[in-house]
Amino acid sequence: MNEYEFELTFKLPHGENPEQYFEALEKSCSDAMVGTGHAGYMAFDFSRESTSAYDAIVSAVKDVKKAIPKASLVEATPDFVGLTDVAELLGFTRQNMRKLMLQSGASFPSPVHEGKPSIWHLSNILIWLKENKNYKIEETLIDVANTNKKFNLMKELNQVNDGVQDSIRELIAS
Amino acid sequence: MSRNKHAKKDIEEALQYAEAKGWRIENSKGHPFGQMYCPYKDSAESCEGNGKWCRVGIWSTPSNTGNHARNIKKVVDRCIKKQEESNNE
Repeated sequence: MNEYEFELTFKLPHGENPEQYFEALEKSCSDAMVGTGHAGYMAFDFSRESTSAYDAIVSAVKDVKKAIPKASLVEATPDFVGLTDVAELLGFTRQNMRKLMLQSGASFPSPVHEGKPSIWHLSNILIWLKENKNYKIEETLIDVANTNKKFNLMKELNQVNDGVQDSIRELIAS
Repeated sequence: MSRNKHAKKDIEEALQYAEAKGWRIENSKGHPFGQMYCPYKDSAESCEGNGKWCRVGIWSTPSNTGNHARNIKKVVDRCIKKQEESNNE
């Protein structure tokens, strides 16, 4: 058994007061800290004992939905990150992280968004650091980041359902 | 102080830590202990995730008391850090 730390954000049905779910949540999610400061949303900071990140996150989503059947998952964190976030997570300086990226050119993982700031999937960077730079990265963190990526991408993929999937897939294949 | 004392010593200590930093704690009905409110109400927009951690639930019987106490302190510290950063800008 490992302890997996991750955060899940859910959207509530319109106009509902999150406090009405506390009673049920303390039964199913008492290994999470619940944040209700953003109206219409609920955030869950889980520390869950499990045999894999996948089992931990799947059971956590099920447990939230058991208490709040109409809640919909917005994001599983950590996954989408900027370089500052990665540096903070691993205890590097931001400058160091940036240098590492610039020096590595095209071998550094591609971002999901190039901008100010640019955004990456955390698991891509962690695995790259481990395999190419021999950094020691906690396996549970890689496991969580990788599973979160799957949840976040599946959620977005649900929006592409108008018959163009195959032709787009062909265009973006690497 | 008009709230009930938390039965778990570690959590009560974390709640007092939060109160010392200006957080307000209210008991809720039923089994859950209550909610904790950030003192900087108007700054939620500049907080992480639109202020989702500016108000948090406190359990009476969390599955791991130590984790829950630590998380309460984490929420408070994370918030103060943001406040300091915006003051320094």
